[in-house]
Amino acid sequence: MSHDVPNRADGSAWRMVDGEMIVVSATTANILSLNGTGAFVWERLDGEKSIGAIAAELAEAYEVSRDEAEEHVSEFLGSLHDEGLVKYEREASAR
Amino acid sequence: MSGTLPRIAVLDTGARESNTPINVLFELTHRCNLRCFHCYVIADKRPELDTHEVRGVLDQLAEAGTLFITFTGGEIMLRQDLFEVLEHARDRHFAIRLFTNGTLIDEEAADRIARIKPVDVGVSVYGPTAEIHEAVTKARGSFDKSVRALQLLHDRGIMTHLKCVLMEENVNVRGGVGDLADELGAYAQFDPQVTPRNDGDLSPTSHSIDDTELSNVVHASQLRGALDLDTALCAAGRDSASISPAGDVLPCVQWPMPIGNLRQQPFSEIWSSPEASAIRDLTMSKLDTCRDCPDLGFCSLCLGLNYVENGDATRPSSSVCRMARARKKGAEG
Repeated sequence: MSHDVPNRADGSAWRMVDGEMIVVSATTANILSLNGTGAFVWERLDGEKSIGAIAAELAEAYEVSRDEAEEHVSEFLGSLHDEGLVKYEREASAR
Repeated sequence: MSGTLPRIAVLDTGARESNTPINVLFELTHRCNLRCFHCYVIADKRPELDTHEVRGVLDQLAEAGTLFITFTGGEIMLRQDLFEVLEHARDRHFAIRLFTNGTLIDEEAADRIARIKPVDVGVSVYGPTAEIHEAVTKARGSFDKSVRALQLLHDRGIMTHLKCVLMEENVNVRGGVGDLADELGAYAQFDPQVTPRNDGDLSPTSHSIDDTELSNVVHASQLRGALDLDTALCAAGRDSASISPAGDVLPCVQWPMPIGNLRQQPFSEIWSSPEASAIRDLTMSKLDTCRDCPDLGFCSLCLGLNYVENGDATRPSSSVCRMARARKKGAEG
């Protein structure tokens, strides 16, 4: 799981507006507003970084354990996936 | 590790206090292949922004915070560079909506639209049959083409809706339009307000439905309570803007009063100009006639239609007043 590489789904729209990250799903047309940690993760969904790598950056930025960060990231990505905002690519090898 | 990780969350998007132009309606052309008798557009004779200029404007809008962009016309499919424009918008991460009459959308165009992944495509349909629709569009065969476009887009998983202005000619068959939308996997959006042309010509409003019908079709309810004198009256010029084919920046497509032109000034300069501030200064305190109106709670207050009808955004539009009366009448039974 932590080696999965998430990416923003094609057609996802987003903008940082007045310090608030707003994303729009091309699948559901739903409009979501992400809080600070949500925006932190969204900005790192580039099809290159694994869930583990993103969680490591989050853990460092917020000074929490990597396990806790990974649990949060996975749960959040699950919500985004349900909205059609995230697609996954299995990482070829652990980074 | 000593920190506490805030739950990663999705929040409700709230109303915006700042003047970020999050919604922009971009008229790519005024050219059209239909001749709908109620159309508000007065074709601008100046050259349209070219591909390079449109791309530059999109870059500026992305920088300014625009997220939702609606491309409309005229008929957008008449722009030879439409897909180049749409691809650029997609690459700048806009949420894209398209308004079209659909008559020029074939399988290949539908495939290309699907690759853009618009959040919604609105197709103008004025009746459930060719006879009724084409009496409005004045174009034989346009009904079948528009319906086919809706089907092609739906088949490709694109959310679609039927845009239907309600007029005397079609108000009695609106149920059929709703049924057609259902058959096409779309939804129907009805607008009971026929607006004047952008030069103030009221002739399209002769097709407006009568007061009794209007009371039946409007959402019969009070829209708001008392308004503070400092209350902003609409999103125009605040979190919404419109851009004309020749690059004029307007507060709203229904408020054709340019506050600047993108061939002469960058968007950021126009959006922070005294002309833009003057739009934002039009609060309730400036509407002497409306302030004490007994129908105010039922009124949608459209400064743009005020301007089109009277040449003055602070003087009430007769068609907006009529809608308010209908809403009030419906609510009071």
